[in-house]
Formats: sequence, C-alpha cells, structure tokens
Amino acid sequence: MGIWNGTKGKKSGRKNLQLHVMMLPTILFLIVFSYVPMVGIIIAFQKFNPAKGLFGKNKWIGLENFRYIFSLPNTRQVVMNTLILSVSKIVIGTLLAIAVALLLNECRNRFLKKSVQTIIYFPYFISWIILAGMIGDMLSPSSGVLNQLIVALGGQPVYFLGDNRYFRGTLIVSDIWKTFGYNSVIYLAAITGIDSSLYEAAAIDGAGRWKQILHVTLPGMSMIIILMSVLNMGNILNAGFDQVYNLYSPGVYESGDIIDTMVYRMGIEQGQLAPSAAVGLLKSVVSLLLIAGSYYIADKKFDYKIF
Amino acid sequence: MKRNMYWALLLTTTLTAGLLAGCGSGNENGTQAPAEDNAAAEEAESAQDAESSSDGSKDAADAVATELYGAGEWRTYDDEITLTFGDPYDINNEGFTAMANIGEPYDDNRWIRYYREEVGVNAEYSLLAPNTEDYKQMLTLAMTSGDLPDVFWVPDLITYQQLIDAEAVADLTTLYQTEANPTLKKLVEGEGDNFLDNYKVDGKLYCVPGKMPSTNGYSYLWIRKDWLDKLGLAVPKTMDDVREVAKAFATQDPDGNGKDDTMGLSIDSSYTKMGSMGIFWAFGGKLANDNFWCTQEDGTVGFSMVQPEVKDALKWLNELYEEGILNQEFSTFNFVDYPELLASERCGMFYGCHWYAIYINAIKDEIPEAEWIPILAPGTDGNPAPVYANVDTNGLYCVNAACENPEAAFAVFNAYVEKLFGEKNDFENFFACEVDSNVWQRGPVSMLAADTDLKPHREMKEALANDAMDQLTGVGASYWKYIQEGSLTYQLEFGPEGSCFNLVDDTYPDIFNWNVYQGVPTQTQAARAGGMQEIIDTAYIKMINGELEIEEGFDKMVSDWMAAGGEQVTQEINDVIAAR
Repeated sequence: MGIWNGTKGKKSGRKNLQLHVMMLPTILFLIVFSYVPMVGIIIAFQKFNPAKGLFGKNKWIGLENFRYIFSLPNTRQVVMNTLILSVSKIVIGTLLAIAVALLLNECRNRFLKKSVQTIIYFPYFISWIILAGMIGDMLSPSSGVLNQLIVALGGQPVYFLGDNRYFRGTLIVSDIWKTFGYNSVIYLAAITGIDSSLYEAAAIDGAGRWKQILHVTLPGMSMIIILMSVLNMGNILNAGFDQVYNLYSPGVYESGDIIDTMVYRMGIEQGQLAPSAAVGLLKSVVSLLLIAGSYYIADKKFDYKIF
Repeated sequence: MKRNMYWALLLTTTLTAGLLAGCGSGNENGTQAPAEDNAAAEEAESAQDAESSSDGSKDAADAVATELYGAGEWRTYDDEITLTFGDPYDINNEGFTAMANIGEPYDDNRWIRYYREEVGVNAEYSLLAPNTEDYKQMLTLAMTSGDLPDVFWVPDLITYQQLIDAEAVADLTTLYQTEANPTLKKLVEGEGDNFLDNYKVDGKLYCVPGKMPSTNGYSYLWIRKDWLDKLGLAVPKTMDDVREVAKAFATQDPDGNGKDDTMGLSIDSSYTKMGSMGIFWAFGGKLANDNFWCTQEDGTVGFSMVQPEVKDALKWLNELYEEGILNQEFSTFNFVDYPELLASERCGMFYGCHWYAIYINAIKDEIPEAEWIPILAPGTDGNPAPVYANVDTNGLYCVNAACENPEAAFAVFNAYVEKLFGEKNDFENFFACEVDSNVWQRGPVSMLAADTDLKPHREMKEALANDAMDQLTGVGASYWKYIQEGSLTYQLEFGPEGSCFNLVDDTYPDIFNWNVYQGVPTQTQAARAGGMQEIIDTAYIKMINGELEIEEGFDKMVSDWMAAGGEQVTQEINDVIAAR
C-alpha cells in the first residue's frame, strides 16, 4: 500500500522501478506455486486416473465427483462438525484474545505484563504433532494429570479424546489455548498504537478506566478487529487439519471428523484424487465468496479498505 | 487514477506471465500429443490383439508347458542392458549406510554387481523415496507425467488397478509362464489357494507380488509370567481363563505397589487389523487386515467383519470393558505407546503380533524382573484359536508397458530367488551380512520364501537339541549371537525355546485359513471402501465401549454398510470369484 501512496506522476513511477523489481520474485513465486497449479482443478471434473496423465485421456464426467461427495453418508455430519468447530474457535478465540489484550493493557506491572504475554504466546510455537502427544498424555483417563485431578476431587475420569460428548470441546479449548496468546499480542499492538492524548482528553472529560476502554480503546482497535474477522472468514471451512488429524480416532469421527481430514483419508489414503480435488475446489469457492462478502460488508458498513 | 494504472499494469504482466506459463505447458502438451496418438494406436492394436488372442489364447494355453528355464536357470544378456527401477528405499538409512561404508553403495552393492555380472542387467534406480508414503506420492506423479521406471514397486492394489486401466503396465501373463523359473513360481504361489488369481484382471496378470512369509499373520497373547506366578495362576488356555487372569491382574495388585492402577488386558487401536484378531478368532469371527472375505454356509462369499460370528467377540470385549479390566483407552491407544504402558507396570497381558517383542525389549532394563511369554491366541476349547490370514505380501512389482525388455524383469526375479532360496544359494551373504541384517532388501527387488522366518528358529532349536550351538552358521548363528548379547526381541521372536516362532513351528501351516478374496478392489470397492470401513470401525468401538447395544448396533451397522455399497461390493466379489 505504501508504495502506491508515494507515487505522483510518471517520473516518480520510474523512480519506483527498483521497488517493482523487488516485487518480481514474489510475483513469480505466486505464479509458479499458486496460479500454475490451478490447472489441476480440471481433475475435479474428470474420472481421474493418474496413470493416464494430467492432460491424458481421462473421461470428463461433469459434476459427478461433486454428486459422489454429497452421496457419502457422513458428508452432512462432516460439514456440520467443520462449521461448529471453526465458528466456535473463531468467535470464542477472538473475544478471548480481545479481552486478554484489554486486561494486559490495563496491567501496570511491567514484569507481570511481559511474563503473562510470553507465557500465553508460547504454545503458539509448538507444532500440533508434538502438542497432540502432550495433550494425549495429559488427558488420558487412566494416567493423565487432568483426570487424576478430577478423580482426586471425587469425580469420574473423563475420556476427553475418545468420547463424542467431550471431543469437540477438547478440540475447541485446546486450539484456543494454543492461539489466543498470539492473537492477543496482535490486539495489544493495535492498542499501543492509539494516541495517548485521546486518553488524556477522556480523563479530563471525567471518563474512568471502564469508560476509556469503551470509548477510546475499543474504537481505536476496531480496524484491526475487522481485519482479523475478514481474514478469519476465509478460514471458516478450515477447522484445523493439523490439530484434528493428530487427535482424532474412528471412535470420534462422529463429532470430530472435518472436511480436511475426510479429504485426506479419501485422497491420500484411498487414492481417490478426483473427489478430493472436487472438495478442495468447493472449499476454495466458498471461502472466496465468504471473504469477498465480508470484505464488502466491512467496506460498506465500516468504510474499511484492505486494498 | 495512476494507482489504478499500476494495478492494471501489474495485472497485465501477471496475466501475460500466466499465459506464457500456460503456453509453456501447452507446448509440453503439444509434444505429448504424438505420444497420445501412439497410445491411441496402441489401444487400437491391443484391441486387435484382444480379438486375435481370443483364438490365440489356446496357443497361450499350450505355451504353458514351455517353461524356458529350469530351477537354477535364468535368462542372461551377452550385451548388457539397462533396467531402471523404482523402490521405496531410504538410501540414507542405517543398513544402506553400513553397506556403503564397507564399499557397497546402494547403486553398486553385491546385488547390483550380481545382476550385472551374472544376468547382464545393469540395474539403475530412477525413482527412490525414503518411505512408502512419499513413494506413493512420487509414483502418482511419475504416473501422471508418464515417467515410470522399467520395473517398479507398487504399494497397493488401488494404484495397481489404476495402472492397468491406463494401460501403463505390461501384461505379464505369458511371460510369467515362460520366463519365471520353478524356484520363483514355488516362492510366489507357495501359500494360499490359487494366490495369483487375486492379481489377475480379466484373466491377465500384470505384476509379480512381493511375497513375504505369512507367518507374520499370527495373533499372540503376551503375558507377564512373573505376575501369573505371584498370583498363583496358570497360563490361560481358554478365553474364560484369559478373563479370569485379566480380572486377577486388574484387581489383585500384581505389581504390588498397593495401588489399584493395573488393567487386566490391553488391546490397541489396530485391534481388528493385527495382533488382537485372536479374540475374534476364538469366537468364530474371521478377521484379518480389515479385508478378510470368507465362504459362507450358502457357498457365497461374504465380508467377515459384518458376519454375525463377530458378535460373541464384541460381547466378550464389551463385558471386559464395562468391568473396567480392558484397556479403557483402546480406541486411541497406539501400539507404539506400549513401551510407556509396560514400563509403568500397569499392564501385564496384551494381544499383539510377534514383533511387539521390540516393545518388551525396549523396557527390559527398566523392569528387569518382568518375565514376558507369548502364547498363541487361545480358543474357547483349550486349543489355540484358528488363524485367519492373508497371504502376506509387501506390495507388488509391475513392469512399464513401454519397457523394451519386460522379460529381463523375470531374469532379475529368477536370479534373486536363486541367490537366496535356490539349490545353489548364497543365503548367508545375501540375506544378511556382518554390518546389515537386511541385505535381502538392498537390491532393486525383494521377496522372501514362506519359511524364511522359521528357518533360523529351526536351526537354533536343532543346534540346541544337539548341544551344538557353536556350529551354527548364517542367520541362525547371527540370531543366536543377538540372543546371547541379551536381545529380548530375538529371544521372544525367534529363540529356540519359548518364542513366537516356536509356536509357529508347531502349527504352521495347518492352523491357517486363507482369505478367499484379497484381490484388486472392485469398482464399488475403489470408490466406497474407505467410507464403508469407517462405518464398521466406528460401530465396533461403540459396541465395545457400550455406547451401542450389541444386537441392535450390529444390525444397524450391517444395514448401513450394505447401503453404503456393501451389498454391491459383495455381489461384485462373488461375480469375480465365480468367473475364476
């Protein structure tokens, strides 16, 4: 964005040539790794046999692959799981991150603030493969720390990862635990950017801490909140493959199987590349619509522009 | 406005570049076009062939008798030819590295030299991937780009079917009959009933299976003998005994730590596929690898996992689960976690394969007093349960349809089996060597005879009986050395006494019942099998953990399975078998 703001007339355009050249590798990268592979979506409309080649004599079957996906008995359940998981993760995660950012901002003890920030930020850097092992150990009904605590308090052990009643909750909570620190740092950064004279003015007008949050801080960070929400809309069909794949088992497909894991099993484990490509295409189209729609709303209602 | 200009410019460049890229692939496509024409021409030809072969098939049938090579013989080439191979080998693994360190790198080791010198085939690898998963993806890529090696390993039957459909692999039906020598044929067809039929599509064979010893298909009950002795219990002989022992292990504090923290019996999340099938076998269920088809009373073939015989086993498991003696986490418990479980002394009995011994070996120093013994999965009448198994293979080998010397593949196979299992074999140097215990897997192709795993056990047993352990040679000697060095893995798997293969030796092959259909997936199977299996997997878990009532849940599972494609698959498989 900054590059374009500085341009005034042809002359300065030439001056910016350097900057344009610097963009070239990125553009090439995008073309090679994002645009060219899009040719592959043709297999979503074929009875695809890899041995016949990408441009080989694979039979064109129109929307048959899409029909096949919707004919599978658990597709509805899988879509529902995906929506429930991703919406809960996004909504609760965002609210929690904002709340924590506000609280941290009010914290006057520098040491406390920094250490809390670091501690909640930390899990973001651990990959799900490793976390899944740790969570599996912690939540085990027989030997897990959490269940030993529950038993010590007189409760019955809970099979968090093997019981359909608890599995979804476990996924949501563990995902939020992993990511809210990262998100709250983003919001905290937005708060830091608010002009401090606004707070002084508010204080002179007699606003207390609470009123200051309500009338200065929140409006000040609204743009970032909208940006994050718009970007999140594109992820609404991604309920977290890495997490689910490493934590689920056939016993909890009912509550935890999501679109991505279903496609993985279908495409990679069972070799059905065409239907998997069809799901991928469908997901991309829906995500594009959602992200475009939410951007449109952000633009019209809040006068917010990314581009 | 200027801003928009730039965007437009940028967009144009991007699009132009995209178009150029498109043209690039278009050109590629252009060069491919003749190939496609060729393929079309070939198709036409092969259609003609098919026609002519309908009367020519009698000739082919006559040709069966003309086996070109006897035992110990194979085709040789005076002018060296080059064959390219594809294998899922990690050439940086311990074995390959050890071989390289003694002057035998993967592309110039004893196998490669042997094929060059004694067959006249220069073997080169053109497709290598460090593991099966990666190999599968690279193979798919090679298939898509038409870049297959001359002879290549195929991991599964779905890929095999795709290769056949695309006419990318050579028809080996006649070649197998004429070029394969008796040693190879005996090895490949040695187990099961008409085993090769499984790989035939419309009566034609397109592969040579990578045959493995099926003795891996057993299910063992591993028990801590010291716990049995401590509680004054006998080694269980029936499923009722197993239950008694499990109950005692769960409630009588066998580890003596004063805490109620032991489970009675453990199974793992792969319980229907391997290791724990013995529970089902005991009650008449015929499970193996999630793909066992059995002949029913009416003579038709049915899928074993939806037959009512499995209900008794599910009921048994459910009762143990509800009583809290069965591993409560079996549905999420991966067998690789056994070392941790066994080290915590919370488990004294579990079902598993012979190689689960590695987990016992892994923790032998932590609990030195633990004395583990394997027994064959008990039945209900005091005898071991019957074994239901697939004829074991490790993938299969196909020959590129464009390969100019498809018969050379058989020269290599013949030479391979002769070197290991023929009359004039050099098993000692080519099965294993000082630095690498898997030399048999360091060449471009590999397969093993049915008794490969039994042999070292028998050698050790015989030597022990004759008090001649120092005269052991070859694999038996090296296994004995490992055992002497304290390897529980080798002791429990192959040892002369009290080992898994001791039990195998007593029962193989009489105890085996072979899968009626382990062949290429039928049309509906290819499209639906995954989802169908998930119905079963989920229902089994729920019936065992009590979420579903067994009678009701089972009927629902069967009807769901039938509706999801099971009915059609059953019909298709019966048709295939009828057409044999």
